[in-house]
Amino acid sequence: MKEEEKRENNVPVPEPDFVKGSEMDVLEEVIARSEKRLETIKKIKQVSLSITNEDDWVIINNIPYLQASGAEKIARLFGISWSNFSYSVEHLNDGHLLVICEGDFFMETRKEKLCIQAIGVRSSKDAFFSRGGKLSAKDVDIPSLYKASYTNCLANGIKRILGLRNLTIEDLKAAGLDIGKIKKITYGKEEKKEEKRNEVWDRITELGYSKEEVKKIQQEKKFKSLNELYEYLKSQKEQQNAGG
Amino acid sequence: MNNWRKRIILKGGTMIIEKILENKEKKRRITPVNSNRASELGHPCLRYLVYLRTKWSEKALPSISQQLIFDEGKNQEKMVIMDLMEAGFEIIEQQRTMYWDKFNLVGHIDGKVIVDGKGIPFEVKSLNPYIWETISDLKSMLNHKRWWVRKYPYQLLIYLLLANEPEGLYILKNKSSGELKEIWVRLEDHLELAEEVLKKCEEIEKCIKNQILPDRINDEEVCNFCPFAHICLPELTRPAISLEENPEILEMLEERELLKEKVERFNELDEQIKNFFKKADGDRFLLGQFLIMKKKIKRNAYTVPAQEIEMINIKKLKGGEK
Repeated sequence: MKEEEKRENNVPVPEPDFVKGSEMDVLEEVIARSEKRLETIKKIKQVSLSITNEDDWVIINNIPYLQASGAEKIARLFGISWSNFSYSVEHLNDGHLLVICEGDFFMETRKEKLCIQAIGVRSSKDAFFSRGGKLSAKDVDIPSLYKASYTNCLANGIKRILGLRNLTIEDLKAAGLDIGKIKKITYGKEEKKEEKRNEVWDRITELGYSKEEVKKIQQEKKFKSLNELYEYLKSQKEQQNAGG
Repeated sequence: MNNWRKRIILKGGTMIIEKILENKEKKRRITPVNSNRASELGHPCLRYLVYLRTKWSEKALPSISQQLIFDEGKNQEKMVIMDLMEAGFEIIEQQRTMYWDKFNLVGHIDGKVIVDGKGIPFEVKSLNPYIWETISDLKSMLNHKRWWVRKYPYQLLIYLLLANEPEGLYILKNKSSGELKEIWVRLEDHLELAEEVLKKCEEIEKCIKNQILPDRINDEEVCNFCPFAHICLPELTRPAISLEENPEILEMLEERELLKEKVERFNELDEQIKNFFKKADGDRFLLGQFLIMKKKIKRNAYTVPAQEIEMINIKKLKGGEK
């Protein structure tokens, strides 16, 4: 029986081998590329951690944070460039300020040019600036607040472009760092709240949304808390990643 | 909070040390800058010098660790002056303000020390041991690896200009050992540097008058320490690292690393053994299964021309390195 006759009589016709083969090739290539990417990210993480020392880290509520000094070392090693910084200021209801710094980060390898945007956020309410809530907004040193949001933006940009997210104490231990020598901070109730807020901002930044995108989504969805906003953005990102 | 602070607290001095640090924190301040300061004019960034005059109120406060360094410098300066006085030298005009209106140039000398009946302007610098070791004259300051050391020569030269004195003196103190070093500077030997500073003053005044900001220097070494970085927002461009994948070379590197320790031990033993036999009488020795022979050879002398060469430095990254 000829192929046409088989189709007419609803007899299953096997797909030509070359079609199957090419699909398999594409799939394998995608898998190989993903594996290689994961391997590269792992390598970058290992190397990044290995050039830092205990002074470059701070542990807040059991989560390690890379300080600006460590981020700078890593940026120098990998050759990360930056430009186009700008600030925006939000005036909060209680008279405090939120200073947001935004900048572009680049890393041009032989194979590709990576480019991302990152933000750094610092509030005059932060325990560090308000001396644990003792100072009102007008008494906070505003240039220091700008400087902190700028250095926060640098640290976030460097971490994001290299994929240094969600680091754990175990990662630091594995890199040979002595956890006992790392500064640990525990905050009081009010300070904790502010620090938590900063943490959530940092996590939002790590997701890779620009300031405008975050603003737009918040205006549309009107989330009651920063945490709710973060959870939404995170699920959106996960969906995007699963889809593409 | 830096490591020194953490260490102090961990050692149990929380209450006392915290009080001192709180006091240091309160001492931090920003003062108005209306003139071109002698101590700053050697700074490599003209934009910074213009910011100092126009944006001084937006300068970030020094960190507590920086404040501690400033205070330590002042204390060391007082101690050096006390040492000079105890040694019998007369010190005059301490912290005298001098001003040259044509260039809107201001300076405060640490003092003048009377040597052979003449008042010699001096500037005290307390330095970390590494930097102290590497400075021997004005040239070594000018060519120094650290940009802030390259600032120093201009400061004393400006004082000499302002005080109309032909020569001055740097007294350098090693912060760790307390050792002192003196460097004499004659203004007439460095007129081109003095002129450079005066030109810089003119440029600063021109920029302020015309409300122009000089270009960013975008120098990582300088910008990282800049208290105006958050206003200037420098752009940094670095060549990216090349992520290599070459299992053969990687294997060779790992093997090289293993052999490195052995090479180091080999060289150590080789040196010890050869030193022993160099001192021993005779030219042939037998020890166990080893025959050791001394031989005199002629070494030809030749000059290596100055040239740029490419060095390859290999380092295995390990965690927790300082």
